[in-house]
Amino acid sequence: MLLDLNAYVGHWPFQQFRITTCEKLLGKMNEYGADVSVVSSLHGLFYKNVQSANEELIEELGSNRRFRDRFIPFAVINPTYGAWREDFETCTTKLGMKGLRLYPKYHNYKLDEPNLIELVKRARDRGLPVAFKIRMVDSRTTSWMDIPYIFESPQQEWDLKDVMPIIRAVPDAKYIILNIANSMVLSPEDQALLLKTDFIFDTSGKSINNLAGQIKTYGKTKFAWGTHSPILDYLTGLLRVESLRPTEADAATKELIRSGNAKRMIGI
Amino acid sequence: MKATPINRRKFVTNTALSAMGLMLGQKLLGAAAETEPARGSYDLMKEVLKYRKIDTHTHANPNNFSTVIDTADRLGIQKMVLVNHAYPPWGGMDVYRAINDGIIAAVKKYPDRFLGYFTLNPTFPKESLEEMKRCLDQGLVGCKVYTEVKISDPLYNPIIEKCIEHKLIVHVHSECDGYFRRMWDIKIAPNASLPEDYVIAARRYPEAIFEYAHIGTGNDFEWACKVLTGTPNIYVNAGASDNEEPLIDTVLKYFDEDKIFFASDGSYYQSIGKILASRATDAQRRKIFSENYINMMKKGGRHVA
Ligand SMILES: [Zn+2]
Ligand SMILES: [Zn+2]
Repeated sequence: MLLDLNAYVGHWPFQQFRITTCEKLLGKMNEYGADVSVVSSLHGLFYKNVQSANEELIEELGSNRRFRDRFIPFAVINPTYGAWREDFETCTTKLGMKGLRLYPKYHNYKLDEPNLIELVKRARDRGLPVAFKIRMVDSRTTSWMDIPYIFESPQQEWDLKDVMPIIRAVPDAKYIILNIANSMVLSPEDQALLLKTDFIFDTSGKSINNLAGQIKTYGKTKFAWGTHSPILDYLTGLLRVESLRPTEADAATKELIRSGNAKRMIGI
Repeated sequence: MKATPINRRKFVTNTALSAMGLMLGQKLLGAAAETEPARGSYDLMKEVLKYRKIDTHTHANPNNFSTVIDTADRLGIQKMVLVNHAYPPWGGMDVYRAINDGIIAAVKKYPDRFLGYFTLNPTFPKESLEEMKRCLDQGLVGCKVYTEVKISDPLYNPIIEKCIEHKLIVHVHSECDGYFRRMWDIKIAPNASLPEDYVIAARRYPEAIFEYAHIGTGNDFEWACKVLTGTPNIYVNAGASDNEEPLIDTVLKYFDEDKIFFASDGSYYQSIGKILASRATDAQRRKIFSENYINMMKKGGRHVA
């Protein structure tokens, strides 16, 4: 089975991307043999009230029987916006969303924000994974309207270490870290903490440049195929997995990365 | 990649999506086409290894030659063009000679795997032309400069003229205007060559061949395509770390399909993944992965494969 842990449905406000609907994404999945995609709303992270985007996504997923068993919806929650606790409840119970994708940089809060810590604890208590993106796009190609986390500027793009404050605050939650770009170097304390944490990196990011070696460092259960579609091309994340030699990843390990690790974390 | 068939029924019972779909989307069910098209069977590594590949822009040094060659073997890359260059503060010509000595040694050590370009500093005109001659005598086959001066700077003219004489491609690190460059990068690399600078140089020397480096990485590929299109002596390589989904198809829309090169710039997975995931035809993929470069080099009397 092939499961994409890092896909979106929707538009990016600053640039034309093409795989914008469930129908188009399903077409790509069928073309390349992907069975299931974890999706959230792409443009929704720009809505003040992100819950409208969660509802739009669910409506689109419900619009065709063929979508039903091919997509797993994740909710976008902004824990600094009004009634976010109710949104969390609605998404994770009534709407059947299986995890969260959170955007501290786009929603303008820090990782020690008390509401974030409360939200992650609520997710933990429900057994739901919480996903953070290292970045959405390369800041060097960014729009003047996009967030001011810019390469070569005083406020850099995120590195892996920038996710660590929330892991330190809630070490027993389940984390998904998507589109790993930039440095993966951590302090010895954080590295030890991360290795004890239940987390997954998806394979879409440019820092997954030596998956065989990275499996040795982090373990074979810590990676899952992801595309970062529609922003990045559909195959690079998969190429990192499929080009592993049998001596680097046996058939069982590859199957874990293709779907097993993500299935376990999502609980399906 | 071989996709294991999913037990669809089992999966449905395991996901809450069906219940949710019934709840919110029920009214819409039945409205659209609901027959599942046939699923493709796609073998990614078979596709990867199907194409002969020449990586027209990469960097390596003695510390990582074996790693780079191992990655190339993994991904079916037969040959790689080394384009190492100096970094600011640039230093004197001795710095450039040392870099070029490293490239010459690499090509001598791995003649089946590496081709080499020399690097120069156009602010040392006389020494640069002497260095060019030395490197050509040692078997290097192209010229690569970083951001020492803009490609449109008159200081570059004698080098372009020598490249024309020796039928060498003029390859320069490229960047692109935009928010990031205006706010931050212009202070760090004021002389980086932008698409507009390439067009000035290419129109000044229509008999030269220019190669715009790593389009779409660290720069806005749509901007670059729109400015560079229609200048027939500008080729482009699609290398480096950014692999935005529409990149290759956009380049194919704006460039002659015979003038696009495959290149990694050290980002091997992205550089292949974005071509395979594009709508390029099989013939276009063959051209991009190797044939275009082989043909371009043949025009200069160089047989690289
Ligand atoms: Zn460059
Ligand atoms: Zn380079």
